Amino acid sequence: MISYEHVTKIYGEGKSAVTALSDVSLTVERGKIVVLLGPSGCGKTTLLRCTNRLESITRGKILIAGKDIMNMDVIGLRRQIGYVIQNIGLFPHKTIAENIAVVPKLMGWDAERIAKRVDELLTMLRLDPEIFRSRYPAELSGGQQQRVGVARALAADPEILLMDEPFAAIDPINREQIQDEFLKLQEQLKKTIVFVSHDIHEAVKMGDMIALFNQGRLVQYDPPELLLTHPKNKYVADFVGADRALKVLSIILAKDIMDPEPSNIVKGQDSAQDVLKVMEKKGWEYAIVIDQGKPVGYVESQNLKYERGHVIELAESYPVHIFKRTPARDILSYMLMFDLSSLCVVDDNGEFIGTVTYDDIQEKVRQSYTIDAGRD
Amino acid sequence: MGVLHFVEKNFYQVLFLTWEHIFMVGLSLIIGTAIGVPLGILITKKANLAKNVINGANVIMTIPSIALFGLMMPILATVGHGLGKVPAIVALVLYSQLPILRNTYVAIKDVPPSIRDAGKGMGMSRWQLLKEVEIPIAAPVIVAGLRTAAVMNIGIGAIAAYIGAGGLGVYIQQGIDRVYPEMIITGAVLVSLFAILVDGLMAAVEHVLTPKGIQLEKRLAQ
Repeated sequence: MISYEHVTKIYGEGKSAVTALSDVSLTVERGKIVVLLGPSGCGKTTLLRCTNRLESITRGKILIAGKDIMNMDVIGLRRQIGYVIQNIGLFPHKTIAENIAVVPKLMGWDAERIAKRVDELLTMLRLDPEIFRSRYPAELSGGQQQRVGVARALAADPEILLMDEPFAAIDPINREQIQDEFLKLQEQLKKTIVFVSHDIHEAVKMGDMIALFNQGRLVQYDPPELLLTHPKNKYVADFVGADRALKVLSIILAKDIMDPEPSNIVKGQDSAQDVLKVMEKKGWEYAIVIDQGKPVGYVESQNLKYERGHVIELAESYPVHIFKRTPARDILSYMLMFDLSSLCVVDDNGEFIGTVTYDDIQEKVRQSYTIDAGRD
Repeated sequence: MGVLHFVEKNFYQVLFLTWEHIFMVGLSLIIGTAIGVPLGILITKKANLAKNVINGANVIMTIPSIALFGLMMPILATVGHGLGKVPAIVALVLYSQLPILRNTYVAIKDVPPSIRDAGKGMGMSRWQLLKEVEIPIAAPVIVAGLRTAAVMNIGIGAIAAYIGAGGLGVYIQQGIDRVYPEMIITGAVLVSLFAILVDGLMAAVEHVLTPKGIQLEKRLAQ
């Protein structure tokens, strides 16, 4: 856990003094990602750099696990905090393995333990150790370099990660992918992460909490949903954008809204006439056909009327299936594209695990707007 | 043919003078490096000192070599070394300072801030940062400075014959005095060959000391 208490940072003295941070207080819970968000020059990077004492604070306190960082040995403090920066900062003269090994080496690990850890991290970040271990940073693409940057920060398994716009230099397609991978990784690692970004999309996607800054002041500190649905003032509303309701859709994931046990399920081997009877009796507009655990498609009553045989042969297949982590924004887009009001959620093996309907999405959005934000 | 004959006749003297030249330039380069590289690194941490030190080295460089030898004489005469190898080596050390200092300073300063930041942020001490990151990255440019200094000092070393420092300059100086073309050519050709050889050698050292990752970076950037 990291606590910032009344942190103030002033550069220079007298008339030329510039206040970079003004009385900032916030707490980063253990295992959560807090995004420091704001336009350039708002103080977000300064706050991050104060955390590992690359900058000193003028007034206030920063506590890590209850201990004042000013009372810690600065070198020791930095070694127990992973640090990822925007320009990656890989050492060009060291191989990928040597780059990742920096902190473990500084901490005096033996060679065997370091080698094992390097391979483990490369594998974790989906870089084949056999190929990448002995390469140099110049031989890697931007996305690969950034993965190595993350691996290096994780090398000595620090509790805390500081990430300064880590994915900003990567092209949009790779950025989405590396963000997704990083979130998946974080689900297992549960690091305490302070993440600087100027991009509201990234903040909404990555953050458990978002701290929005303006001119050195903390304007709003809330979960992404609240920031989007209940902006505290005009500055926040403008920053998050007029399409903020749509942005809410990108934080709602299929797993948050799916119905794991929908009633309108039929088996592939059921006969058309039996299914039709059930549908008429229960008033279903359509039924989902599942065969051997996998969704085959859907049937509507008008298609069954004059048919015999099994529903598996009559089912209209779904053009697309969605996954647990598919955001509602994409789901809604599919629904509009294919004129469907429900889609099946499948796991990595394609097994059926639930459905999401248009109504589920609408209900969830309505809920997030009615959360009582009465904490002001 | 006269030149070869001259060399054949004076073979051991030629060897000796060549050795003297190597010694003079080599020793001054070693001392010059021992002073220039640490000083160059030191001034990267002290901005106002940097300006003065580099300006000072610039001024020394501006003084013509023959005048610098002249200036050294009365100063070093007070400790009994007005003539000979000592003033020559002192002068060569002073001359070598500008290329060595300036290249070291610029090379260390040019290490990208993001790389330095990453090292610091990961908990490297100042010394570790210097040893593990800054010096290896700066090495090629530092060696390039040594290369310039070495080649320059071979040339200036030839003039040191006028203050009795020995070396291949002796043939040039005496050959002119005695109007002995074979002698002049022998001295001139050997000094030139020596300079070309050392330049090539230092280029090889530069290549060897350039870390592989940085070579790749340069090649891929082209």
